[in-house]
Amino acid sequence: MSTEDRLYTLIAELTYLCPLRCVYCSNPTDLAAHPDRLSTTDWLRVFKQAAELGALQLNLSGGEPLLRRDLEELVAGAHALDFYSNLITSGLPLTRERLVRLKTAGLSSVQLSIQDSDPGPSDRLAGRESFEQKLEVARWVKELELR
Amino acid sequence: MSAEAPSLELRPKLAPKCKLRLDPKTAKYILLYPEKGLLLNATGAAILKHCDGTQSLSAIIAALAVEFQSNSDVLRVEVLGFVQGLLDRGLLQAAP
Repeated sequence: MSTEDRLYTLIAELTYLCPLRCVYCSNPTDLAAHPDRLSTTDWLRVFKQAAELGALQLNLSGGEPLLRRDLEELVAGAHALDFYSNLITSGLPLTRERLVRLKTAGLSSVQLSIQDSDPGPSDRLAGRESFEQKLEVARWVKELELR
Repeated sequence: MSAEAPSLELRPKLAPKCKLRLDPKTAKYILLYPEKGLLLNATGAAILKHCDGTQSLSAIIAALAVEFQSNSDVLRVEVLGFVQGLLDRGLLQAAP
């Protein structure tokens, strides 16, 4: 956006937990070796510090951020700081009701991973059956205008 | 890209994916959308603040002519060009 030396975007890797096992993934899967996750309070403090450094965009990523039960609270905290918040997700596990809650909490947009345009290769790359759920999530994202 | 200028009856509004906010570091408005942002100058921000889906382009031009104490014929060309650019990029939409 500019060559100016400042922060524009914070990418928050909220957890390493993930329901997928994508063949290309570079995140750790040996979770026992990475036991420490930041608490809700810690993340909210990090968001505030990032905003003070100039960050305007917040990418909520992982792992799978939906596996954090406090995601709604984190989104609401980001919204209170006027962030443009983007959920980077596999779409699993997600219900339409939870996506509505996230939008109500102030989520700006959703970036949904799809491993292939065909179900077979997509599920194979993701390491589990997931393609149909992703299509369903994509429909909710469009319907709720989160893209 | 559309070569045609938008109709003066068109009522532009921000696309749902867009968020207009003040950037405290620069004291300028910025239009945020997925993975990108458009830093606006004062006139760009003034135009977008009127793009709420209720005001037609002719009404917006008239309001800006008052705000900037400027000739609306000159403003019309600039506003239509700016709005068309953002319509083409999907950052503005025509309100139904």
